Amino acid sequence: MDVLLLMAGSITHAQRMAAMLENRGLRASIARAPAGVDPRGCGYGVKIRRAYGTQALDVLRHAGIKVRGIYQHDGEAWREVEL
Amino acid sequence: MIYLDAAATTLEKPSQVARAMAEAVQTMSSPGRGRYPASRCAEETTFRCRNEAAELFGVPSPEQVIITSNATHGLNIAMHSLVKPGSRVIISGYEHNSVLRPLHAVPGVELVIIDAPLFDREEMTRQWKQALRQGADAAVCVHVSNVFGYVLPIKEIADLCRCHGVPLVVDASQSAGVLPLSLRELGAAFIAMPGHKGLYGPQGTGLLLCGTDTEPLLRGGTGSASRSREMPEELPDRLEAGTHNMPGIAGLLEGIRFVRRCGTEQIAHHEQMLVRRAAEKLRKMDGVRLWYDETGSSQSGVLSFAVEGLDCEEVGEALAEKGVAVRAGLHCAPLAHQTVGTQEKGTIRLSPSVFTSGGQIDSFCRCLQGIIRDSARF
Repeated sequence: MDVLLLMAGSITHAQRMAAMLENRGLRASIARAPAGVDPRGCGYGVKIRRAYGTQALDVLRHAGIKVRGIYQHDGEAWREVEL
Repeated sequence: MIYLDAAATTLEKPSQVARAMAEAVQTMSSPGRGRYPASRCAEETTFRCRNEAAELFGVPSPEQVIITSNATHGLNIAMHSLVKPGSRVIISGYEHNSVLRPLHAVPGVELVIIDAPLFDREEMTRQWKQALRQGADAAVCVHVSNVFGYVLPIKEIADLCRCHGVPLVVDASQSAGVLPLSLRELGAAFIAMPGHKGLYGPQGTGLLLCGTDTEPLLRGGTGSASRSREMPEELPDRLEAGTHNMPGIAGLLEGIRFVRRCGTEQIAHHEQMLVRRAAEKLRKMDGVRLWYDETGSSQSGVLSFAVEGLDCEEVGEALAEKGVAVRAGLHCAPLAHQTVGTQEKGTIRLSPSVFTSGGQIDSFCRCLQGIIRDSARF
Protein backbone atom coordinates (compact mmCIF):
# COMPACT_ATOMS: atom_id res chain seq x y z
CA MET A 1 0.00 0.00 0.00
CA ASP A 2 1.37 3.38 -0.88
CA VAL A 3 -0.75 5.34 1.60
CA LEU A 4 0.15 6.56 5.07
CA LEU A 5 -2.33 7.53 7.75
CA LEU A 6 -1.13 10.31 10.03
CA MET A 7 -3.23 10.21 13.18
CA ALA A 8 -4.70 13.35 14.74
CA GLY A 9 -6.17 14.05 18.15
CA SER A 10 -9.43 15.47 16.85
CA ILE A 11 -11.20 16.35 13.64
CA THR A 12 -9.97 19.95 14.04
CA HIS A 13 -6.40 18.73 14.46
CA ALA A 14 -6.79 16.59 11.32
CA GLN A 15 -8.18 19.58 9.44
CA ARG A 16 -5.21 21.70 10.47
CA MET A 17 -2.81 18.98 9.35
CA ALA A 18 -4.56 18.58 6.00
CA ALA A 19 -4.73 22.34 5.43
CA MET A 20 -1.03 22.75 6.17
CA LEU A 21 -0.06 19.91 3.82
CA GLU A 22 -2.35 21.13 1.05
CA ASN A 23 -0.85 24.61 1.42
CA ARG A 24 2.52 23.08 0.70
CA GLY A 25 1.21 21.28 -2.36
CA LEU A 26 0.94 17.85 -0.73
CA ARG A 27 -2.35 16.06 -1.38
CA ALA A 28 -3.95 15.11 1.90
CA SER A 29 -7.40 13.79 2.74
CA ILE A 30 -9.08 13.54 6.10
CA ALA A 31 -10.17 10.04 7.08
CA ARG A 32 -11.82 8.32 10.02
CA ALA A 33 -9.36 5.97 11.67
CA PRO A 34 -10.05 2.32 10.79
CA ALA A 35 -11.00 0.04 13.67
CA GLY A 36 -7.96 -0.99 15.64
CA VAL A 37 -5.81 1.98 14.73
CA ASP A 38 -7.02 4.29 17.47
CA PRO A 39 -7.60 2.40 20.72
CA ARG A 40 -9.69 5.32 21.98
CA GLY A 41 -12.17 4.79 19.12
CA CYS A 42 -13.62 7.28 16.62
CA GLY A 43 -10.28 8.78 15.69
CA TYR A 44 -9.37 11.00 12.80
CA GLY A 45 -6.29 11.19 10.65
CA VAL A 46 -4.94 12.39 7.35
CA LYS A 47 -4.10 10.12 4.44
CA ILE A 48 -1.14 10.98 2.26
CA ARG A 49 0.89 9.16 -0.36
CA ARG A 50 3.72 7.11 1.11
CA ALA A 51 6.20 8.78 -1.23
CA TYR A 52 5.56 12.15 0.45
CA GLY A 53 5.74 10.81 4.00
CA THR A 54 9.05 12.29 5.09
CA GLN A 55 8.34 15.61 3.42
CA ALA A 56 4.89 15.78 5.02
CA LEU A 57 6.25 15.07 8.47
CA ASP A 58 8.88 17.77 8.00
CA VAL A 59 6.20 20.28 7.03
CA LEU A 60 4.08 19.40 10.07
CA ARG A 61 7.04 19.39 12.45
CA HIS A 62 8.15 22.76 11.13
CA ALA A 63 4.64 24.15 11.72
CA GLY A 64 4.57 22.74 15.24
CA ILE A 65 1.74 20.34 14.45
CA LYS A 66 2.09 17.05 16.30
CA VAL A 67 1.26 13.70 14.73
CA ARG A 68 -0.20 11.10 17.10
CA GLY A 69 1.05 8.13 15.11
CA ILE A 70 1.92 6.99 11.59
CA TYR A 71 0.15 3.95 10.15
CA GLN A 72 0.58 1.99 6.96
CA HIS A 73 -1.52 -0.85 5.58
CA ASP A 74 0.61 -3.93 5.00
CA GLY A 75 -2.01 -5.81 3.02
CA GLU A 76 -3.61 -7.34 6.09
CA ALA A 77 -4.01 -4.53 8.58
CA TRP A 78 -2.94 -1.03 9.46
CA ARG A 79 0.30 -1.09 11.43
CA GLU A 80 2.22 1.65 13.14
CA VAL A 81 5.44 2.52 11.34
CA GLU A 82 8.29 4.92 11.87
CA LEU A 83 9.67 7.19 9.20
CA MET B 1 -37.16 51.58 14.99
CA ILE B 2 -33.93 53.16 16.16
CA TYR B 3 -32.01 50.32 17.71
CA LEU B 4 -29.49 51.46 20.33
CA ASP B 5 -29.04 48.27 22.31
CA ALA B 6 -26.13 46.70 20.46
CA ALA B 7 -24.33 46.14 23.78
CA ALA B 8 -27.00 43.51 24.50
CA THR B 9 -27.37 42.12 20.97
CA THR B 10 -26.64 43.62 17.58
CA LEU B 11 -30.09 43.27 16.07
CA GLU B 12 -29.12 44.40 12.59
CA LYS B 13 -26.84 41.84 10.97
CA PRO B 14 -25.13 41.58 7.62
CA SER B 15 -27.57 39.84 5.25
CA GLN B 16 -25.18 36.96 4.65
CA VAL B 17 -25.55 35.88 8.31
CA ALA B 18 -29.20 34.88 7.90
CA ARG B 19 -28.51 33.35 4.48
CA ALA B 20 -25.71 31.17 5.82
CA MET B 21 -27.88 30.07 8.74
CA ALA B 22 -30.76 29.07 6.50
CA GLU B 23 -28.40 27.10 4.28
CA ALA B 24 -26.82 25.38 7.28
CA VAL B 25 -30.19 24.11 8.51
CA GLN B 26 -30.63 22.29 5.22
CA THR B 27 -27.10 21.11 4.55
CA MET B 28 -25.11 20.53 7.75
CA SER B 29 -25.20 17.93 10.52
CA SER B 30 -22.35 18.18 13.05
CA PRO B 31 -18.55 18.07 12.70
CA GLY B 32 -16.70 14.82 13.29
CA ARG B 33 -19.68 12.53 12.88
CA GLY B 34 -18.83 10.90 9.55
CA ARG B 35 -17.39 11.26 6.08
CA TYR B 36 -20.73 11.99 4.44
CA PRO B 37 -21.30 15.44 2.89
CA ALA B 38 -23.50 16.92 5.63
CA SER B 39 -20.90 16.21 8.32
CA ARG B 40 -18.00 17.29 6.11
CA CYS B 41 -19.77 20.53 5.28
CA ALA B 42 -20.28 21.14 9.00
CA GLU B 43 -16.60 20.37 9.64
CA GLU B 44 -15.41 22.77 6.99
CA THR B 45 -17.68 25.58 8.19
CA THR B 46 -16.64 25.08 11.81
CA PHE B 47 -12.97 24.93 10.91
CA ARG B 48 -13.27 28.15 8.89
CA CYS B 49 -15.01 29.80 11.80
CA ARG B 50 -12.23 28.77 14.19
CA ASN B 51 -9.58 29.91 11.72
CA GLU B 52 -11.17 33.30 11.08
CA ALA B 53 -11.48 33.85 14.83
CA ALA B 54 -7.91 32.68 15.44
CA GLU B 55 -6.61 35.18 12.89
CA LEU B 56 -8.74 38.03 14.23
CA PHE B 57 -7.83 37.39 17.87
CA GLY B 58 -4.19 36.33 17.68
CA VAL B 59 -4.76 32.71 18.67
CA PRO B 60 -1.85 30.42 17.77
CA SER B 61 -3.99 27.51 16.57
CA PRO B 62 -7.65 26.97 15.66
CA GLU B 63 -7.91 24.16 18.22
CA GLN B 64 -7.69 26.83 20.92
CA VAL B 65 -10.89 28.48 19.66
CA ILE B 66 -13.82 26.88 21.48
CA ILE B 67 -17.33 27.45 20.24
CA THR B 68 -19.69 28.21 23.09
CA SER B 69 -23.30 29.27 23.32
CA ASN B 70 -22.47 32.78 24.58
CA ALA B 71 -19.86 34.68 26.60
CA THR B 72 -21.41 33.53 29.88
CA HIS B 73 -20.85 29.92 28.84
CA GLY B 74 -17.22 30.65 28.02
CA LEU B 75 -16.66 32.53 31.27
CA ASN B 76 -18.15 29.64 33.22
CA ILE B 77 -15.75 27.19 31.55
CA ALA B 78 -12.81 29.51 32.23
CA MET B 79 -13.63 30.01 35.89
CA HIS B 80 -14.48 26.32 36.35
CA SER B 81 -10.99 25.55 35.03
CA LEU B 82 -9.17 27.98 37.31
CA VAL B 83 -11.20 28.62 40.44
CA LYS B 84 -11.49 26.02 43.20
CA PRO B 85 -13.07 26.21 46.67
CA GLY B 86 -11.05 28.64 48.75
CA SER B 87 -9.34 30.29 45.76
CA ARG B 88 -8.33 33.92 45.96
CA VAL B 89 -9.67 35.69 42.88
CA ILE B 90 -9.11 39.31 41.86
CA ILE B 91 -11.77 41.00 39.75
CA SER B 92 -12.46 44.53 38.61
CA GLY B 93 -15.33 46.53 40.05
CA TYR B 94 -16.96 46.58 36.63
CA GLU B 95 -17.77 42.88 36.25
CA HIS B 96 -21.04 41.51 34.95
CA ASN B 97 -23.15 38.91 36.76
CA SER B 98 -21.73 36.39 34.30
CA VAL B 99 -18.56 36.65 36.38
CA LEU B 100 -19.99 37.38 39.83
CA ARG B 101 -22.54 34.58 39.98
CA PRO B 102 -20.23 31.71 38.95
CA LEU B 103 -17.65 32.94 41.48
CA HIS B 104 -20.29 33.26 44.19
CA ALA B 105 -21.25 29.62 43.59
CA VAL B 106 -17.77 28.34 44.46
CA PRO B 107 -17.53 27.76 48.22
CA GLY B 108 -15.06 29.88 50.15
CA VAL B 109 -13.80 32.00 47.29
CA GLU B 110 -11.94 35.05 48.54
CA LEU B 111 -12.98 37.85 46.21
CA VAL B 112 -10.76 40.90 45.87
CA ILE B 113 -12.61 43.68 44.05
CA ILE B 114 -10.68 46.50 42.40
CA ASP B 115 -13.09 49.40 42.69
CA ALA B 116 -11.11 52.18 41.05
CA PRO B 117 -13.09 55.23 39.87
CA LEU B 118 -14.69 55.32 36.44
CA PHE B 119 -12.33 56.19 33.56
CA ASP B 120 -9.31 56.37 35.88
CA ARG B 121 -7.06 53.86 34.16
CA GLU B 122 -4.00 54.84 36.17
CA GLU B 123 -5.67 54.23 39.50
CA MET B 124 -7.12 50.98 38.20
CA THR B 125 -3.66 49.75 37.20
CA ARG B 126 -2.19 50.85 40.53
CA GLN B 127 -4.81 48.94 42.49
CA TRP B 128 -4.34 45.79 40.41
CA LYS B 129 -0.62 46.00 41.02
CA GLN B 130 -1.18 46.23 44.74
CA ALA B 131 -3.68 43.36 44.87
CA LEU B 132 -1.51 41.08 42.77
CA ARG B 133 1.44 41.52 45.14
CA GLN B 134 -0.40 39.28 47.61
CA GLY B 135 -0.86 36.62 44.94
CA ALA B 136 -4.03 35.08 43.57
CA ASP B 137 -5.24 31.86 41.99
CA ALA B 138 -6.99 33.70 39.19
CA ALA B 139 -7.96 37.15 37.94
CA VAL B 140 -11.02 38.07 35.93
CA CYS B 141 -11.36 41.41 34.18
CA VAL B 142 -13.84 42.86 31.75
CA HIS B 143 -12.24 44.65 28.80
CA VAL B 144 -15.05 47.18 28.37
CA SER B 145 -17.75 47.90 30.94
CA ASN B 146 -21.14 46.94 29.53
CA VAL B 147 -22.72 49.79 31.51
CA PHE B 148 -20.40 52.74 31.00
CA GLY B 149 -18.36 51.82 27.94
CA TYR B 150 -15.23 52.26 30.04
CA VAL B 151 -12.23 50.66 28.32
CA LEU B 152 -10.21 49.15 31.14
CA PRO B 153 -6.38 49.08 30.90
CA ILE B 154 -6.43 45.41 29.97
CA LYS B 155 -2.93 45.33 28.50
CA GLU B 156 -1.44 46.72 31.69
CA ILE B 157 -3.52 44.37 33.84
CA ALA B 158 -2.52 41.40 31.67
CA ASP B 159 1.15 42.35 31.95
CA LEU B 160 0.86 42.57 35.73
CA CYS B 161 -0.92 39.21 35.93
CA ARG B 162 1.75 37.60 33.79
CA CYS B 163 4.52 39.06 35.97
CA HIS B 164 2.88 37.60 39.08
CA GLY B 165 2.05 34.27 37.43
CA VAL B 166 -1.69 34.78 37.90
CA PRO B 167 -3.91 33.36 35.12
CA LEU B 168 -6.17 36.05 33.68
CA VAL B 169 -9.65 35.60 32.25
CA VAL B 170 -10.74 38.45 29.99
CA ASP B 171 -14.43 39.14 29.45
CA ALA B 172 -14.42 40.60 25.95
CA SER B 173 -18.21 40.81 25.64
CA GLN B 174 -18.17 44.47 24.63
CA SER B 175 -14.81 44.62 22.90
CA ALA B 176 -14.66 41.60 20.59
CA GLY B 177 -15.07 42.89 17.05
CA VAL B 178 -14.64 46.50 18.14
CA LEU B 179 -11.25 46.90 19.80
CA PRO B 180 -7.90 45.23 19.08
CA LEU B 181 -7.75 41.99 21.04
CA SER B 182 -5.07 39.32 20.92
CA LEU B 183 -4.69 36.21 23.06
CA ARG B 184 -1.05 36.04 22.08
CA GLU B 185 -0.30 39.64 23.04
CA LEU B 186 -2.24 39.61 26.28
CA GLY B 187 -0.92 36.20 27.30
CA ALA B 188 -4.29 35.61 28.94
CA ALA B 189 -5.41 32.22 30.18
CA PHE B 190 -8.83 32.70 28.57
CA ILE B 191 -10.73 35.29 26.57
CA ALA B 192 -14.50 34.84 26.43
CA MET B 193 -16.81 36.63 24.03
CA PRO B 194 -20.33 36.44 22.62
CA GLY B 195 -21.01 35.88 18.93
CA HIS B 196 -24.18 37.97 18.88
CA LYS B 197 -22.79 41.41 19.75
CA GLY B 198 -19.74 42.93 18.06
CA LEU B 199 -19.13 39.85 15.92
CA TYR B 200 -22.58 40.23 14.30
CA GLY B 201 -23.37 36.53 14.58
CA PRO B 202 -26.64 35.06 15.82
CA GLN B 203 -27.74 34.63 19.42
CA GLY B 204 -26.68 31.30 20.91
CA THR B 205 -23.09 31.62 19.76
CA GLY B 206 -19.88 32.61 21.51
CA LEU B 207 -16.17 31.91 21.56
CA LEU B 208 -13.73 30.98 24.27
CA LEU B 209 -10.07 31.44 23.40
CA CYS B 210 -7.93 29.12 25.49
CA GLY B 211 -4.35 29.82 26.49
CA THR B 212 -4.07 27.32 29.32
CA ASP B 213 -5.21 23.91 30.58
CA THR B 214 -8.94 23.46 30.78
CA GLU B 215 -11.53 21.60 32.79
CA PRO B 216 -14.74 20.63 30.98
CA LEU B 217 -17.98 22.06 32.25
CA LEU B 218 -20.13 19.72 30.18
CA ARG B 219 -19.36 16.11 29.42
CA GLY B 220 -20.73 13.98 26.63
CA GLY B 221 -20.24 12.83 23.06
CA THR B 222 -17.63 14.56 20.95
CA GLY B 223 -17.45 12.27 17.91
CA SER B 224 -13.94 11.34 19.07
CA ALA B 225 -12.20 9.01 21.58
CA SER B 226 -15.55 7.30 22.07
CA ARG B 227 -14.28 4.34 24.09
CA SER B 228 -13.03 6.56 26.87
CA ARG B 229 -15.31 7.51 29.73
CA GLU B 230 -13.22 10.65 30.14
CA MET B 231 -13.51 13.71 27.97
CA PRO B 232 -10.70 13.91 25.38
CA GLU B 233 -7.59 15.79 26.45
CA GLU B 234 -7.41 17.62 23.12
CA LEU B 235 -9.05 20.92 22.40
CA PRO B 236 -11.55 21.78 21.06
CA ASP B 237 -13.25 18.41 21.71
CA ARG B 238 -12.49 18.60 25.42
CA LEU B 239 -14.85 21.56 25.82
CA GLU B 240 -17.41 20.88 23.10
CA ALA B 241 -19.66 18.05 24.20
CA GLY B 242 -22.81 17.40 22.21
CA THR B 243 -24.07 18.34 18.77
CA HIS B 244 -22.89 21.67 17.47
CA ASN B 245 -25.12 24.65 16.72
CA MET B 246 -24.35 24.60 13.02
CA PRO B 247 -26.77 27.34 11.90
CA GLY B 248 -25.24 29.49 14.63
CA ILE B 249 -21.67 28.67 13.64
CA ALA B 250 -22.39 29.32 9.97
CA GLY B 251 -23.90 32.68 10.88
CA LEU B 252 -21.06 33.51 13.22
CA LEU B 253 -18.53 32.74 10.50
CA GLU B 254 -20.21 35.29 8.23
CA GLY B 255 -20.37 37.79 11.07
CA ILE B 256 -16.65 37.49 11.75
CA ARG B 257 -15.88 37.80 8.05
CA PHE B 258 -17.98 40.97 7.96
CA VAL B 259 -16.07 42.42 10.92
CA ARG B 260 -12.73 41.59 9.30
CA ARG B 261 -13.83 43.22 6.05
CA CYS B 262 -14.99 46.39 7.84
CA GLY B 263 -11.98 46.46 10.16
CA THR B 264 -12.32 46.77 13.92
CA GLU B 265 -10.66 50.19 13.86
CA GLN B 266 -13.30 51.53 11.48
CA ILE B 267 -16.09 50.03 13.54
CA ALA B 268 -14.68 51.48 16.77
CA HIS B 269 -14.23 54.88 15.15
CA HIS B 270 -17.81 54.89 13.87
CA GLU B 271 -19.33 53.87 17.20
CA GLN B 272 -17.20 56.31 19.21
CA MET B 273 -18.13 59.10 16.83
CA LEU B 274 -21.83 58.31 17.39
CA VAL B 275 -21.42 58.22 21.15
CA ARG B 276 -19.57 61.55 21.08
CA ARG B 277 -22.38 63.01 18.97
CA ALA B 278 -24.95 61.77 21.47
CA ALA B 279 -22.92 63.04 24.42
CA GLU B 280 -22.62 66.52 22.92
CA LYS B 281 -26.39 66.77 22.54
CA LEU B 282 -27.29 65.10 25.83
CA ARG B 283 -25.09 67.37 27.90
CA LYS B 284 -27.05 70.38 26.65
CA MET B 285 -30.34 68.96 27.94
CA ASP B 286 -31.63 70.11 31.31
CA GLY B 287 -31.39 67.50 34.02
CA VAL B 288 -29.40 64.95 32.02
CA ARG B 289 -26.45 63.41 33.78
CA LEU B 290 -23.82 61.70 31.64
CA TRP B 291 -21.10 59.23 32.49
CA TYR B 292 -18.74 60.04 29.66
CA ASP B 293 -14.97 60.23 29.37
CA GLU B 294 -14.44 63.73 27.99
CA THR B 295 -10.93 62.81 26.83
CA GLY B 296 -12.41 60.00 24.75
CA SER B 297 -9.40 57.82 25.48
CA SER B 298 -11.22 55.24 27.58
CA GLN B 299 -14.74 55.49 26.17
CA SER B 300 -16.03 52.87 23.77
CA GLY B 301 -19.31 52.89 21.88
CA VAL B 302 -21.48 52.50 24.97
CA LEU B 303 -22.88 55.47 26.90
CA SER B 304 -24.83 55.70 30.16
CA PHE B 305 -26.96 58.62 31.24
CA ALA B 306 -29.81 59.44 33.60
CA VAL B 307 -32.47 62.13 33.72
CA GLU B 308 -32.95 63.95 36.99
CA GLY B 309 -36.40 63.34 38.47
CA LEU B 310 -37.26 60.57 36.02
CA ASP B 311 -37.06 56.85 36.64
CA CYS B 312 -34.67 55.14 34.24
CA GLU B 313 -37.09 52.35 33.41
CA GLU B 314 -39.83 54.91 32.67
CA VAL B 315 -37.51 56.80 30.34
CA GLY B 316 -36.64 53.50 28.63
CA GLU B 317 -40.32 52.70 28.22
CA ALA B 318 -41.13 56.18 26.92
CA LEU B 319 -38.32 55.87 24.38
CA ALA B 320 -39.59 52.42 23.34
CA GLU B 321 -43.03 53.94 22.73
CA LYS B 322 -41.36 56.40 20.39
CA GLY B 323 -39.54 53.61 18.58
CA VAL B 324 -36.16 53.91 20.25
CA ALA B 325 -34.59 50.77 21.79
CA VAL B 326 -32.28 51.38 24.75
CA ARG B 327 -31.53 49.42 27.91
CA ALA B 328 -32.38 50.84 31.32
CA GLY B 329 -31.75 49.60 34.84
CA LEU B 330 -28.75 47.72 36.20
CA HIS B 331 -27.70 45.96 32.97
CA CYS B 332 -26.97 42.67 34.82
CA ALA B 333 -23.97 44.47 36.29
CA PRO B 334 -24.90 45.65 39.81
CA LEU B 335 -21.24 45.67 40.80
CA ALA B 336 -20.38 48.22 38.10
CA HIS B 337 -23.26 50.41 39.27
CA GLN B 338 -22.12 50.02 42.86
CA THR B 339 -18.57 51.06 41.91
CA VAL B 340 -19.85 54.21 40.23
CA GLY B 341 -22.61 54.91 42.75
CA THR B 342 -25.60 54.37 40.48
CA GLN B 343 -26.83 51.14 42.08
CA GLU B 344 -29.98 52.71 43.53
CA LYS B 345 -31.50 54.10 40.36
CA GLY B 346 -29.50 52.54 37.56
CA THR B 347 -28.85 54.30 34.27
CA ILE B 348 -30.10 54.37 30.72
CA ARG B 349 -27.64 52.94 28.26
CA LEU B 350 -27.38 53.57 24.57
CA SER B 351 -25.11 51.48 22.40
CA PRO B 352 -24.99 51.89 18.63
CA SER B 353 -23.58 49.44 16.12
CA VAL B 354 -21.91 49.77 12.77
CA PHE B 355 -25.38 50.00 11.22
CA THR B 356 -26.42 53.03 13.28
CA SER B 357 -26.36 56.43 11.57
CA GLY B 358 -25.70 59.90 12.92
CA GLY B 359 -29.25 60.82 11.91
CA GLN B 360 -30.62 58.10 14.16
CA ILE B 361 -28.63 59.47 17.09
CA ASP B 362 -30.11 62.90 16.40
CA SER B 363 -33.61 61.41 16.29
CA PHE B 364 -33.03 59.62 19.58
CA CYS B 365 -31.92 62.92 21.14
CA ARG B 366 -35.04 64.68 19.87
CA CYS B 367 -37.22 61.90 21.32
CA LEU B 368 -35.49 62.18 24.68
CA GLN B 369 -35.81 65.94 24.65
CA GLY B 370 -39.54 65.52 24.01
CA ILE B 371 -39.90 63.09 26.92
CA ILE B 372 -38.10 65.48 29.26
CA ARG B 373 -40.23 68.38 28.05
CA ASP B 374 -43.46 66.42 28.48
CA SER B 375 -42.49 65.29 31.95
CA ALA B 376 -41.89 68.89 33.02
CA ARG B 377 -45.55 69.70 32.30
CA PHE B 378 -46.83 67.40 35.04
